[in-house]
Amino acid sequence: MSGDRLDGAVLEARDITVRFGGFLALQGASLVAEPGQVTSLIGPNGAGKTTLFHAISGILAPEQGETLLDGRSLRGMTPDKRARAGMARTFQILELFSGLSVAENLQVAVEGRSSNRIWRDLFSLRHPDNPDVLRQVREAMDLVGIAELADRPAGSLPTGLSRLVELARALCTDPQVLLLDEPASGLSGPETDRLHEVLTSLADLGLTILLVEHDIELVMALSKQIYVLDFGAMIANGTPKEVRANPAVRAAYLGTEAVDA
Amino acid sequence: MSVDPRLGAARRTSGPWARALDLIPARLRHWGVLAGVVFVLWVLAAAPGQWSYLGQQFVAGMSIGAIAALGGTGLVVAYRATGVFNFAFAGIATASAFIMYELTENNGVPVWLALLMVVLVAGPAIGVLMDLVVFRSLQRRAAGTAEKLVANLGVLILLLGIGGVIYGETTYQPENIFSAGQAFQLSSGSSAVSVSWSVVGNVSMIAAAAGGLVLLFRYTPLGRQVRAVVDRRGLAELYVVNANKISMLSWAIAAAFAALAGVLDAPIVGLQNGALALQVLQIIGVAVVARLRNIGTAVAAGFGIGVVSSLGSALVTPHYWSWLSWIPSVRQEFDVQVPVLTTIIFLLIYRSLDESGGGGTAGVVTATFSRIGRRSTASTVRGVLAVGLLAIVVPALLGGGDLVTAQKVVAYSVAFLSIVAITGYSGHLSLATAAFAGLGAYITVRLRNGLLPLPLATSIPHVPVLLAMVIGALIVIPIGVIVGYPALRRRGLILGLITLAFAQVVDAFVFQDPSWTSGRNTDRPDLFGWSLSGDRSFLYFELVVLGLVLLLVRNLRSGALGRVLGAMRDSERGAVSVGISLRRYKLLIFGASAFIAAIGGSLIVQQTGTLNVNPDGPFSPLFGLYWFGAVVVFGLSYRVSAILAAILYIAVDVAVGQRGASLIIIGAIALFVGYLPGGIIGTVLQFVRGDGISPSPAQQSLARFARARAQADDAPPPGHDLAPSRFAERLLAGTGSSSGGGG
Repeated sequence: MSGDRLDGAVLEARDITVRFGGFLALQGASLVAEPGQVTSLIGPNGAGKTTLFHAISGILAPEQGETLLDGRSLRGMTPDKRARAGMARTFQILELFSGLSVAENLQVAVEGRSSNRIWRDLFSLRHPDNPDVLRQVREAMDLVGIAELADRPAGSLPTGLSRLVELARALCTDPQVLLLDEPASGLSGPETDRLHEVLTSLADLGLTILLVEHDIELVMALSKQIYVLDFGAMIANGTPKEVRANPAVRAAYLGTEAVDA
Repeated sequence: MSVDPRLGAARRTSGPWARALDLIPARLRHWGVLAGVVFVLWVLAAAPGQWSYLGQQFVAGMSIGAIAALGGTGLVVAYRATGVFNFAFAGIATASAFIMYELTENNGVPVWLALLMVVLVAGPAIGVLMDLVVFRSLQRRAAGTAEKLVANLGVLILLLGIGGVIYGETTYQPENIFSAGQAFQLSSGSSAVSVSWSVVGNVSMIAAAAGGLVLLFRYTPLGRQVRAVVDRRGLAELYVVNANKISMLSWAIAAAFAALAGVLDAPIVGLQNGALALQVLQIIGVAVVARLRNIGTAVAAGFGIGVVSSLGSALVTPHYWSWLSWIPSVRQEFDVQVPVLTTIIFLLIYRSLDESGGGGTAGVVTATFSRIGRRSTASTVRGVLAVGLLAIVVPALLGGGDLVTAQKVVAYSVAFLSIVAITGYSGHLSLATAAFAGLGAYITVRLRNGLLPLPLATSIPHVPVLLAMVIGALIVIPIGVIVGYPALRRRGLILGLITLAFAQVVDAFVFQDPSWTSGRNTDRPDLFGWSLSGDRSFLYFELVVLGLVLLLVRNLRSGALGRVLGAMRDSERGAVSVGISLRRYKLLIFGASAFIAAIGGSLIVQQTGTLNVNPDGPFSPLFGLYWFGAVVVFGLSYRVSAILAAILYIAVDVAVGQRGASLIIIGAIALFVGYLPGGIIGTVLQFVRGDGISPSPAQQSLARFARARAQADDAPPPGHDLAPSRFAERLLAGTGSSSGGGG
């Protein structure tokens, strides 16, 4: 959010395999998300979408495969390093800082990247807010439309608003890539419309957005490119129109018999 | 589709041995087997000509191991059935041993009858009381793991407080339950091993208890239900099982096992309130080896630890191990060192126990929504001036004994602030604060007396006490950072157990150094030739230190640093996702809190003048639990609660004239922590300030009051609607006429 234009980066997940004990959660899943557009990842429950997100953001170490940001491998990088490298994300199960206010949640995100304030804060008597940080926080809140929540405790918000706060917090890290895990679940109709607008404008500004979402209408309306995951494997990808017509996708969603019938 | 393709690569194992090995983590398998082989070779190498002696040690180890197996089984049953790690078992064991002592020594009850009464009546009664008074209501309110843990610590603190008030620090020597005479002899001649009745008794106790558990679990309906809960808690709760009955039965069984362990252990280690509890706390290692899961493993681990300690302490004599004799503390306390080392090693290898519930500190840390401090210079100056004025005036008004009490309160306030920083501000459960404080005190005293701060008898030049205090606190920082490393991947109960085990290791290896026979005293500091040893001047010195530490702790809750620590406390995943390096901040907070604790510990020892490392001394591992309890009841995330906790911890004992009185109060309040979100301060603040969402009760009642006043102001005066009395009519008429007359 430093300039008028956001610099997106090409996100590539290459051949990612994740195993939980004897359970193969992901088998060689690959995807590419281009800057300036929304790329979506859909699939039935348990298909491995969140697992792929965890592998991309570094929370899980995949057995095989790697994540690349603008062609640069992120292999071995911890999740916080990946976040500092420009990868921001939201969570399906909310991970807000419930004891802090909404504004403080966003402030941490702006300040978290640099650590040079530790020693100064530890030994100084004054801890004034940095006006530059506050400006970025206000911009992000205005963009998502939660400015009036600034002083509310984050833990007191309903799910829909919390998702918007998480989105604003992710934006505060000055990301190149935005990973959104079901951002519309729990949102009301008007809130979903607002989310639609926000994501469209972020993509127009140049950000790379990778979206996991069950609201198919939203996915079809937003995405340039859609990947379909089933039983841990990519079964299809293409434009919304291509994916809608793909028989394998229909089988995965509706069941084989229904398609055959 | 017949087979889920994802299950294709499942690992297949067969046979009981393969399955048993599968339970052990891979890394542990290698090291465990290697350590076992080395130990057996070592025993064999030492054995020629010593068969009888080693056999005797082995048998003695079985006897100790039986007691550990009993305690460990009780811990596992309690944890599996109730989801609460039963720290209170050490208190139940001690209380039961005292009841046993009263029955047999003072009331002449035969030993066998007293044993039955304690194990089958008194112990279970404590368990049932715990369930009825504390845990049933917590369960009904769906309390978090942290609240249950604190309530359980409350039971421990309460029981030991009661023991302290009644029995003080006296050591009693109960009669052996089983005769020490020979039951039978194994082998004969030079390799003869005599087995006493007490060994037979202890081993048959665990056999009987384990057999009883099997019978109960297998052949009674209620027992089967308990077993269902123990096996799969979530699943069992879906079926109709009587949760209340099961919970009560589980606590009764767990308490009976603790009682049995305490009664059997007391004649061996002596019956002293804190010392016995401290000894029994080592049994935690047995439950840890069993991953809080498996009763069979717990029994095996109990015997294993008992035998290794016993054989080991026979072998670690200068005769066998002369090359290690330069570390004096290794030679002596091997029977203590093996259990505590086992605990910490297994906790580090396992990485996670079979924990149920969340690992956070939600429910006990904070109730109110508090903004991160962003104070200006002016408000800081105002605060410092106000507190400073108080700190100058109050000591001037105190005299004599009160001055000494105030010194203690200030020293403990500093140490308790460390708990506020580590648990209140950053959400890490640490039970090692007393150990860090003790290390600070230890280094101060050692340097002051010209000794290296290591368990070695090497002399160095004497260091002035003020400098020794600073050096001590600085040395403790890296130790705190090292203890913080396990916290990078662990939170909640397992971190609490690691820190407790660290405290036990420090106690066994550093404080209990047998070569340290003189030089445990310290004087009070000089500053530029100005002595601070007078009671009032030392208090002023302490207050200055307290002020500096308060500023440091305030900074951990202010500005960008305060926000980062608060973020880390509330959601580690969220913190990582915005680019915060958990490693840096976790190690920082562990180092900072260790530093603060060490300063506090140094002040404590300067105040008393002598470092007491006995089980009833201020830094024994048990006291880490007391300190934590004292701060929890006031509220972990408020600086003022450290000071109030120190006042309660010190001043109540002084006022009552009986050590243990304050523990009774702390323990009793901790039992009901579920009703006090954020502790006493947090609850009061929530009442006054609200939770940041809706107006607080106090604000609501103030608003009601203000509304009533506003209405009253608008309303006509009372009685306006009444018809005037005749007298009033006349009076009004009179004034009307008089005013008219004047006009």
